[in-house]
Amino acid sequence: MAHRVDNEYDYLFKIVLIGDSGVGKSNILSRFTRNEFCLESKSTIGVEFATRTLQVEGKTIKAQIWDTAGQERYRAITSAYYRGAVGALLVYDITKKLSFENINRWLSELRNHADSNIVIMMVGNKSDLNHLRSVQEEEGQALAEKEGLSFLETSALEALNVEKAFQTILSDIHQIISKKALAAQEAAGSGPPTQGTTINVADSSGNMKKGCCST
Amino acid sequence: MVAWEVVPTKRRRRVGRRIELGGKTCALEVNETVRDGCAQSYASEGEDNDAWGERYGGSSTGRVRMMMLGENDMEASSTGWSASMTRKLWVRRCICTIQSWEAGSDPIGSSENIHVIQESEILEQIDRDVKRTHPDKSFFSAKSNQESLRRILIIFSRLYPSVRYVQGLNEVLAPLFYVLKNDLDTSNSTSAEADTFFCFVELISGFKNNYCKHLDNSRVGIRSILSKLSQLLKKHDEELWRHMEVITKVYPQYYAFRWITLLLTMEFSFNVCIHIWDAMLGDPEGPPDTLLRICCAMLILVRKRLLVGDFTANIQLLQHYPQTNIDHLLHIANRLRGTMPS
Repeated sequence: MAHRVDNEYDYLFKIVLIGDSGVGKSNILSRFTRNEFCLESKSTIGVEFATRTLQVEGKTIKAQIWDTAGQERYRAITSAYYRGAVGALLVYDITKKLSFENINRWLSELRNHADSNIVIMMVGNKSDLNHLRSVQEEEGQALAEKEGLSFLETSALEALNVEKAFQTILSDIHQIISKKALAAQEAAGSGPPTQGTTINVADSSGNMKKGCCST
Repeated sequence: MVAWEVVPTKRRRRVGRRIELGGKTCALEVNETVRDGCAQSYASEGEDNDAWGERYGGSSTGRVRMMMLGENDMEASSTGWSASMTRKLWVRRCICTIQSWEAGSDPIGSSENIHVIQESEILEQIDRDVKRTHPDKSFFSAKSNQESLRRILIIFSRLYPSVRYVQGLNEVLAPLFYVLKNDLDTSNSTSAEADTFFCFVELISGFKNNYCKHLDNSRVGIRSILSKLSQLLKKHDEELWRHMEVITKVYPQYYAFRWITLLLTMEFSFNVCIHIWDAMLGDPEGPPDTLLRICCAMLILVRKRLLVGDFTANIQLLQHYPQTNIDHLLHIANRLRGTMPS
C-alpha cells in the first residue's frame, strides 16, 4: 500500500461550495483540486468531497472542500454539511440572472445553518461566456460590497481566477485566525501570570493541527 | 386538478389518473390486468395527497424484472384490453400533455407566477440532466432516445407532484430504458418508452419517500433509511461500524446518500449496474431492503481499507467506490438476508 498519509499541515479549513444547480460548482472544485474540467459533468447528488493542501502566507493549509448539490430538493440534506465550515464560496452563473438573484436566498441559508463567523466569498462563474453575460461584473461587485463579501469572477473552463478565489478565501480565514490567536495571547499576557494559557484557536473558526511526524 | 379514479367499464375496471389541461381532459389510464391484476388505492404514512394512487398486488418486482429480461408477456393478456392499447394511449397522452404544456396553455402553470418559474426550472433541469446521461454511450446521445427520456421525466414530474423532478432521476431511468429499448423482440422495443414509464413508476414507488424533501427528517424519509444502513452495519460488523461512526465520524449521509437515492447508478459502470439491478429487482425481499443489504456489503467488502483509513481517505474511497467483483459483492449481500432492522 503506497498511499500517502496526508498529515502534515498547519491548518485544516473546511470550505463549502454552494449556489444554484448548474452554475459550475463541481467544475470549480475539480479545477482546483485536480486541474480538470468536464463539460458534461453529472449533477451532484448530496455532497462531494475533495481536499488540496497548499501554502498560504507561509503556512501549510489543507483545504477540505465540500461541493454540495444545488437543487432545492437537496437543501435540507446539504445544509447539514455546513457544520464546522469556516469558509463558503457562493457561486452564481454570470449568464443566468436567476442564479444571481438567488444569492440572497443562499446567504440566508448560510445565516441559518452555518457558523456566524463563516468567511463568505461570492463567485461569478463562467466568465468565458462573456457574449452570453446577463449579470454585469459591477452588479456582482456592488452586491458583494453591500453584503461585505469578497468577490471574483472565475472561469473553471479556462482555469481563470479559480486558484485565486481559493487563495483569497483561505488567506482571509488564516488572517482572522491569526488575529484571534494574537488577541488571545495579548489577553493572556495582560492578565496576571498563570501557569500557561490554552489558546483555543480552533473554536468555531478552524481546526488547528500541528504538523506531526506520523507519515 | 389531479385525481385518481377508478373508471368502471363494461369489460373491466381501469385505473387512471385524470389531469385537466386547458379544458381538455388528459387521462393516463393503466389497465389493471396489465399491471398484475389487482389495483387498490392506498395512502401510507408520510404520503402526500397526490398519493401514489395505486399499488399493484402480486410480484411487481418480478414483473419489472421479467420486463427487463425481455420476458414481457403483456401481449398475451386475454382481456382484449391489451398492452398495445395501453402503449398507444401512452403515446397519445404524453404528446397531448407535453404539447399543451409547451404551448403555455397549462392552467396549472399559468395560474400563479411562482409555478411558471418552478415549471420552467424543472424543464431546464430535466433537459440538462438528459443531455448528461451517459454521454459516452452512443445510445444515450441519440436524439430520439434523449427525447424519450425527457418525455418520461416530464410526464412523471407532472403525475407525481410530491416528487416532481429530483436531480439524478435521469440516472435511475437510464438502465430501464436501455434494457427495454434493446429488447430483441421489436414489438416490445418499439413500445419501450411506454413500458419504461410504467416500470419507472413501479420502481420509484418503492423508494418515493427518499425523494421528498419534506420527509427528510421524518421516520420514513432518506435520513431514516441512512440510519437503517448504519444499524445494519453495526449488526454485522460492529468493529467496522465503530471505526466509521465513532472514531473517524464518517456517517452514511456523506457517502450513502447518493448510493441510495440513485440506486447505485453512479457508483458502478453501466453494465455492472444492470447486473446489480437484476439481482436487486428480482430479490423476494424487494428492492428497498435488497439495496440496503448491497450497500452494507459494499462497506464490508472494503473493510480492511476502511479500518486503516482516516476521515478523508474513507470518504474519498466510498465516494469513488473501487472496481470490485460483483458476484462476490452480491454473495456477501445475500448472506445478510433476513436481518433488516425494523
